[in-house]
Amino acid sequence: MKAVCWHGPEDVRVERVADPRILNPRDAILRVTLTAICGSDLHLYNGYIPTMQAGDILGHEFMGEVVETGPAVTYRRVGERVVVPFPIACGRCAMCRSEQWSLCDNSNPNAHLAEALYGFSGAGLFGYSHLYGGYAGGQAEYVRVPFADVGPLPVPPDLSDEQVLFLSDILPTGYMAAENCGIQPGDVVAVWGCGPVGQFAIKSAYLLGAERVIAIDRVPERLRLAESAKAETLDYEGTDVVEELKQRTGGRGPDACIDAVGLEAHGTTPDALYDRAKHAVSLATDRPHVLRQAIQACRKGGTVSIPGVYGGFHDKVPFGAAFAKGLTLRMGQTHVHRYLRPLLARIQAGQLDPAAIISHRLRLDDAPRAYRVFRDKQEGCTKVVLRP
Amino acid sequence: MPTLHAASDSSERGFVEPPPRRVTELAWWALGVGGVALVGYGLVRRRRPLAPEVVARTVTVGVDPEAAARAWQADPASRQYDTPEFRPAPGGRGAEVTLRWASRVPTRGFAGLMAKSVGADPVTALAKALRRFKQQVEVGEVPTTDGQPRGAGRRPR
Repeated sequence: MKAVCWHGPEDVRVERVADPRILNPRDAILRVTLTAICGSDLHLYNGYIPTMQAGDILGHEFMGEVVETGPAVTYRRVGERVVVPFPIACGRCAMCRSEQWSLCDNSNPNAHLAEALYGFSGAGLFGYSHLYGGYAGGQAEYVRVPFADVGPLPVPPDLSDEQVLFLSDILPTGYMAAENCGIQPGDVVAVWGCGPVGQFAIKSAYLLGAERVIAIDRVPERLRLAESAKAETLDYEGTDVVEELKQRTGGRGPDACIDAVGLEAHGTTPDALYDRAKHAVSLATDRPHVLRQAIQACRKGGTVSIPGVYGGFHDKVPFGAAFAKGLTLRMGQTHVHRYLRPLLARIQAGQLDPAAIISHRLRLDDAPRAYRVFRDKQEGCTKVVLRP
Repeated sequence: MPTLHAASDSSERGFVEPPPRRVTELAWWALGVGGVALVGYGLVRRRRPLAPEVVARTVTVGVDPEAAARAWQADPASRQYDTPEFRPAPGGRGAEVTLRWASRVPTRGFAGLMAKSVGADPVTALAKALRRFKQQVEVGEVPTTDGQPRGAGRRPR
């Protein structure tokens, strides 16, 4: 089969590799019908996530048709069309039973690596480094899906692939980011990053009752997209973001701040330049410039919600400010399984149209160019889907 | 009373000229490397236990202690270890399983670090055995990626 393989920073290739096969009794094999490049794939593309190895198959946003099931699979049937959550969850451990699916105790075969770095291991993830299990990803013609009775959600025939694909990651991620804000009527929510997750966070914040959403970015087409979702926009270039947010919120600060950027934040402030310098000489993995702003800008007693991916150790994060203001910090990989059915219902009801953010529809063979275009935000790129 | 000409006075008393600077530096380096090696060797010797050191690791599995004990007895991979201790986990969270192992491989200090770096660390081995047991008990399989497809490039270790 063909698959998109990582070979090093800024080096992804479409290669012929062996077809996947059932390795555990609860596995299924899918023929991938649609897959996407996620913003967090760009952290792999840029070489900022450790424990990647040449030849690793990328991709954690995908859907397809079941073509084979393992002997212990009960509910999935060959021929079913399913969308697959990016965290791999066993469904039986204490974490899964408490619906904290992305923290599954049992699905990461390389848990010892994560334990050495983080103390404990979260769930295994598709196509996202050996730290998260080393599972082959779904930017391929076929993919093996462990615990096939637990994750994959059958898709109603009246919905297209494009309408449901983003249930695999970015739609639940944006929704959980807004849900983590504990939004109350009248709340103002600030969202840093108007990429796909930021866009879904904006829509979700309104769905959950926010009165105003302020979207912060610098890319014109992304700001326009946020405007079309009824967000007020703020171009951070040449603006003191913290002061501007205070001004726009009657001096209080936003009730909740969402960092939908993560470890590769851009910026022109001294702290952002300091991050870049450390990054350039490999003294840091993360550039937490947006996180600093969010903590600084958030109102007293407010919430900072962090769907953006971070991987390492943070320098100069104003934890004293978070403490002094009594902030609530909420974060983590998305518990996608928890949101699949409620969000599918919202799509069916016409409350959400995830396909609207797709700007590029390409073939799997075009993956190397697609990564470059998406990373560099060329051609007005907001989201790329790849059809094998 | 010392004068500014003390050095020339010394030469006059028959002192040899100091060796070239490069040779002196090399000597210092050799002394330093030798010293570090000696200290390291001493640490390893000092940390090597005369008697086996008992190490322990605990995991919580989502079944009651009796069921966990039965599963341990039935698992062929568990036979290389002593029987663990099974006790109820608080809050109805199943069983806490503590496995102990008398190991001659050091676990602490420099020697322990060296053992860990070459994968001979007994604590890591215990943790892997317990994780495997937990996976068998809770999901009936040990998730693996061995045998999955990958592109050209280095095989994962």
